[in-house]
Amino acid sequence: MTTATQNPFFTMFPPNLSAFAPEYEGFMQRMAAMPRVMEIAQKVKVGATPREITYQEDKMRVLHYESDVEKKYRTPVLLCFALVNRPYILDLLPHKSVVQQFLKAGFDVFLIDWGVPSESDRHLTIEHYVRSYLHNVVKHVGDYTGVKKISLLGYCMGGTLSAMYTSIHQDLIKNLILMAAPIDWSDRESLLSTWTDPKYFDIDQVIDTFGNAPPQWLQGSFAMLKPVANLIEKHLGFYERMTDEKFVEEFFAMETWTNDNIPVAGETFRQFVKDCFQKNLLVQGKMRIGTKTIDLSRINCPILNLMASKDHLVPCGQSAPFNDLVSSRDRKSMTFPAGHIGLSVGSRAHRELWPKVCQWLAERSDKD
Amino acid sequence: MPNDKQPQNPAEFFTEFWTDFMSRSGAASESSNGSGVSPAFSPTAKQMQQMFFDAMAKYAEEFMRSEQFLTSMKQTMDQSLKFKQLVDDFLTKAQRSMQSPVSADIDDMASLLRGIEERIFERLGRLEEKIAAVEEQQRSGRDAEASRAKRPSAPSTPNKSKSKRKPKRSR
Repeated sequence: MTTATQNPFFTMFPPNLSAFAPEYEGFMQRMAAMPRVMEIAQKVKVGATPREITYQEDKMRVLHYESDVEKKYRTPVLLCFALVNRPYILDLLPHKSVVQQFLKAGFDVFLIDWGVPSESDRHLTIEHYVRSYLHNVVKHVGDYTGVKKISLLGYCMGGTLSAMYTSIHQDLIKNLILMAAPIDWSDRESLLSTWTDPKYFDIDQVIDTFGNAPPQWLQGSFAMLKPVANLIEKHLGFYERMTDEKFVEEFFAMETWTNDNIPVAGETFRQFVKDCFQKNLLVQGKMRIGTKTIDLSRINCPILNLMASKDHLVPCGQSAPFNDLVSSRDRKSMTFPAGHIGLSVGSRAHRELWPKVCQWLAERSDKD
Repeated sequence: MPNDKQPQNPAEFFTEFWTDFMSRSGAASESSNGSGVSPAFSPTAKQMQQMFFDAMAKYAEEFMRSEQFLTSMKQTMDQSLKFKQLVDDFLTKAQRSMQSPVSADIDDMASLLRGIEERIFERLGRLEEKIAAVEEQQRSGRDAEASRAKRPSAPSTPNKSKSKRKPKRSR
């Protein structure tokens, strides 16, 4: 007969097994919460702020958000997200929504949804996105609201595109806000910069083979930037707090977004990796999109550069140099203790950072 | 001479480490919480867990920046891309032999359409510029005319040039 003391597994436990009683109780509570967890997982609704589509071109759509709050400013805000992942991260949940922050402050808010590129979109270049799509959207928002100049907020790669656009069409942009936007890739702190080194990464081979940058591959790469946090700690944290309904809702909302990856148009991805990550042409004033050379010094509107000090994707060193490259007199940086995504969905960011951003923008927008 | 304390079975090192780890964390949690907090989630255990994860994260990042990892990443990617190309080639040939269109054909067509679209837009752009220039010329011409019309009429002193021309014409 095998006793507890003879079983090698039990020798690993402390003599007083009763110490594990609360743990067992907690486990049972979590198991009891499972049906509710499943229910929340199915019901969680992301990007729920009411909106209408005011412009559509190919797969791109422009969402105009509705608000009960009285509009205070004539200058609308256009939110431009990256081509990687979905834009509803800016309107994840009602209490974690950048869109709601601007609406509550009295702004008219528009968001670009780039859509999901298909195989036939593999030839779309940065020029198409900046000089065609983004330009048409800016003109549309101006026409729709009856103003000549709008405020543009670009997040992550969307920030890079917004900076490029503003340098070409400064006459249409009143204020520019960049949010964790990579501009200078000479900073090699991010693992992405190491991985995209031309010595180890042949972007031509990838795009020639796949056409578009595959979403699973992008998602895997992003997860591997922080393997312990993304593959272990996240799930452990969920297990520990799965009886907290608010946490569970937020967790599943984030998971929905994280797993909702989309491909990036092949030629755009190729150009972005080559010209930005590998050659760092943007800060040198040598980046060309079509016939235009991007010269950031042409930007002279008020600038707000938002950075996250714990950003592992776009370290501050990649964003901070932007303010020195523009000729704007009114330029400001805000560094917030958050991660790349925490900047838009973090509770603390919504409590402390976004009211300040709205205030900054309010001071520079035309009143209604 | 082998150390007497060393266990004969190498797996025992592993067991000993984890037994020790569990006993310590269990004892620490027992002593630190009399309030029934689960030992696995006691502050001490949490702290130890966090230290463990931080160390893991640090070494994982160092490893992912190492030459060995980057080289193996490149080799794996090269191989998998070659494999995908082979599969794609095979599928393309198989579909072509069945007279079916393949993605490359659709891709070519899309590329062709984009080319046409771009050329049309380019021409439209040039036309727009020309029209704008003509409109600008017309506008400036109208403005000039309007300003001439608005200008108060010249004083009664006769225009010398006109007075000179008339006799010439009459000739």
